[in-house]
Amino acid sequence: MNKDVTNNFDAEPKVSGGQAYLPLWLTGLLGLLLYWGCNYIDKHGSGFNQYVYSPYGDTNQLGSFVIGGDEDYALGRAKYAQICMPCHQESGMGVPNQFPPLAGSEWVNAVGASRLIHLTQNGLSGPIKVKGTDWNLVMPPMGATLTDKELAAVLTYIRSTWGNKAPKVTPEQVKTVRAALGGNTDPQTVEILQKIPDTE
Amino acid sequence: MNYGSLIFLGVFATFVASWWGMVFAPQLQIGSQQPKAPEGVSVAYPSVRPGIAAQGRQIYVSQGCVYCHSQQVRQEGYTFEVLFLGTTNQQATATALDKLGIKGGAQLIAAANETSPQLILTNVSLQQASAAETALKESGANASRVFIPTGADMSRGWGLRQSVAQDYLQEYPVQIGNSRLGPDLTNIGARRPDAAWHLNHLYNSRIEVKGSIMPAYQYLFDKRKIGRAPSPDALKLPPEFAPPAGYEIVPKPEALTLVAYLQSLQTTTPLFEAPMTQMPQSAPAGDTNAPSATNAPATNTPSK
Amino acid sequence: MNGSTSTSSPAEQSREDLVRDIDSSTAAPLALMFFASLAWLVVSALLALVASVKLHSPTILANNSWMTYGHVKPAANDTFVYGFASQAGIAIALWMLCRLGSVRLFAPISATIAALFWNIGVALGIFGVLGGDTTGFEWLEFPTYGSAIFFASFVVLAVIALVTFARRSVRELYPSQWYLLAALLWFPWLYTTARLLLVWHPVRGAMQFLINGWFASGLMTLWLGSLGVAVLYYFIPKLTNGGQLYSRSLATFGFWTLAVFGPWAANLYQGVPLPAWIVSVSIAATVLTLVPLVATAMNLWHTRLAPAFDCSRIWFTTSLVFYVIASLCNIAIALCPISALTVAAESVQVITLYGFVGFALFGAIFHIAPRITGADLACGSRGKITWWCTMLGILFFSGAMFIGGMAQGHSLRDGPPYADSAKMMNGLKPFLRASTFGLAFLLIGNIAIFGSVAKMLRACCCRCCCFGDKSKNVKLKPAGAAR
Repeated sequence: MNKDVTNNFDAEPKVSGGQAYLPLWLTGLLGLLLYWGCNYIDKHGSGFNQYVYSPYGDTNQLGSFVIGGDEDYALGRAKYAQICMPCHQESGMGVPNQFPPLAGSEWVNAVGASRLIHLTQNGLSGPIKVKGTDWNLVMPPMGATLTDKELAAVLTYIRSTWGNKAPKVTPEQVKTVRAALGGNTDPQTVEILQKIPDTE
Repeated sequence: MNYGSLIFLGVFATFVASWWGMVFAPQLQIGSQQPKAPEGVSVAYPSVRPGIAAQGRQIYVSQGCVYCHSQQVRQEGYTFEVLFLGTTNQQATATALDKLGIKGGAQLIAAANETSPQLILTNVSLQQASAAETALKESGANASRVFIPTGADMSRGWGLRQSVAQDYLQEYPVQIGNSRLGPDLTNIGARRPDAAWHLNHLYNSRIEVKGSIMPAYQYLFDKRKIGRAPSPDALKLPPEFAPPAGYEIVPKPEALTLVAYLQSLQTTTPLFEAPMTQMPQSAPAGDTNAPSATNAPATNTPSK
Repeated sequence: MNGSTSTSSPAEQSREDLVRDIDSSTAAPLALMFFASLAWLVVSALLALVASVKLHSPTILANNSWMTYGHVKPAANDTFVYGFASQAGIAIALWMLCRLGSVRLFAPISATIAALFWNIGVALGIFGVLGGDTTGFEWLEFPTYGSAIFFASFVVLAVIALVTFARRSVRELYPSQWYLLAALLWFPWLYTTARLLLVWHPVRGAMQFLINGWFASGLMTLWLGSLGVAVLYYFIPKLTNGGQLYSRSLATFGFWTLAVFGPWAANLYQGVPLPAWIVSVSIAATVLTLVPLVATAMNLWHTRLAPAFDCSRIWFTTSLVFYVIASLCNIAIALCPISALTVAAESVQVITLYGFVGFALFGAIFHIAPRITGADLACGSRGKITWWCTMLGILFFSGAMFIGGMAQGHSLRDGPPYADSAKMMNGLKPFLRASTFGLAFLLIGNIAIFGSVAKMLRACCCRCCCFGDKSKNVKLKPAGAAR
């Protein structure tokens, strides 16, 4: 450091300078703001859903805004938006090679709803043919968390939208199937489903 | 912090993270959206603009309209209204109305049955609206709840619902804009369908809007001597803006395509992510008693 | 940290000779870049003035496609950012990298040629924008023929800067070098991403808006902001505290928090047509940039021991104050959507561009230009005019636009339902007039600094008659007030 005396012509800032410590409160501020930021994103971020824009909270809420239909329809649409839409899409067309369509699907449009209730209550795994295309995938038991009324409303919704015209599903039907299943939570396969009569 | 490579790598890593979060992930979500047919509509939305309007968009871009005009409708909230469409059981409905705390049941029933739908509840929540609707329906009446997007832009008539990513799928370059020195143009085609108004306004906005600060785009027009007969396209200008006698102002193709583009700017399709007011089928359209939901179109300009 | 080894240069060479040698190696490219950037600065202020006049008097210069508001406004913005701030910033970056690394500039002739092409690119771009040939994206309006030349020159200059950096003889790094290194990575990445995804291979729909906002935010905070902070980190200790920085750990903390949070901000506010989560992330990131702001500002403020009101130091103190104001305004705007879509954004823009970046660059130019030209230190009346006019200009413009923007935001939001926009704009006119007044001040200040530097260069030119190989012909005399 003896050069400091001779080398001060237009001296550069000292590289080694600045021994003061980082104040603790600044780290605290960072922590506080990080906490706030996570809360903010949690509160306003709507779970990173691409369909939710600023004044709305979630897809469930958006789904309930349907006008003109009866209350069950609105409930079904809301639950569809919340649970089914991420995969089967708003259009009910699914995603090619990933999620099969509901619109025009022979499984959805069957006269009896029993197969559908089984499928949504316990999930589905293995190969299945929908609208002439082979799919091989796993669907989680999406319906298991819904009440009888809600599951019936969702199924009614998908059976009466996008050109589908199948009879309504009642909460009683759901109740019957759930009772029949008992504690069985095994995923359904096409073989199991096909044993259930198409008309129930 | 004395190794250049360390800083370089650190900055690289943090920037990759942001690139992933703010460019890549949104691209997977909204960048991969496709035009889709909303419920009850058979045509995919948004459709490609017709060729002339697409040309007009190039003029819009090259004139820098975006530095004063936004194309985004903002929404602050939503509310519900209940519309009463008539009843078959006057007695029961009158009781139901009374229970809901709505005064003048008899007159309402008469009015709804004989003339037009009546607005009975405004600014209520979804639960309240549904409850009222159910109660009235049980009494044998026909009622419907109506969804109302709220916000300054809606009440000003700049749009029917908020703008969402789906609206811009067919746009390039997107002209969403960050400035509102002029009015928002999301819905100008619905608000101002009149081509003559737009042409005059482009030629000199002060003709149509007193005190407007919009630049005059007179270089998009030709001033020429009237030939054997006046051109059918010539602008009909008030005397103080008219060219000297024997001359006429005719729009160049640029002006015509730009107006076609402005006329094509309409956002009137409801989407799942952006619901908007839809009247129940039985309500006659354009009725004077229609609820405030049918935002009166178009008053961003004072009357002349 | 065993002390500075800034004497790793050959022992027989005295510090003074070394410094002169380094300075003269940068002289040719820097002279060109300072002259050109300040010329662009004047052009930018002129264009901004024209644009501002048109907002309250639309009949002035009307009916001319080249001078319509939609052409003049983006041209003014781009001239400032690419013509002045980026160019002067990279020139100063080259000089600081040489000085801090105690190394001569690598390939000064190539740098001069690259600088020449930079200006050709900017000129073509501005020409295109004024002629209506624009990409339609804010801050990226340059048509491809302008932006390609500009960006190629940038890459050459950035490579020269990095090679110079790699050849440094002082190995330890100073905070300014961190920021310059990061900025030289950030800007090309931001720019290529934006050009690629917006112009060459466009993404669909609202994604364009998002990428545009992300680029604009990065341009301000990561590119120009880093250049500005690098300048402040260099000059504030050097001029006011004998080269002693207050705290290196604070600087490290500020740098890395900026690197982590800064790039996530995208100039968004609740209400834009993007899914809520994107907007929320952007807002949260913007608020988190408060941490690097506090760290950096506190560090520099503590460094500034001596009162800093002489002509060479005041620039940096002023810039530091505006750095804090600009960043706070940025955060406030993200959190308070009343200012969205109003002229308040322009107020923050001018505080950032002129107040923070501009003052820092002006001060650096006034410091460096005498050293490379051998002129006396510009402590004269022109420097004072520049400071005062820029200051008054910022206060008038930003004050008017801020209040006006709030009024505009209020009437956009809560105004009577059918309030027409012509009426709104008429309410705004007094503020717009005041902003024109402010821009006129800025123009005078810009002309003063341009004149000052042009005079130095002319004197230098007369002495050696050649920009190219000054190092051979001229013996630079020490700058007057150099410490």
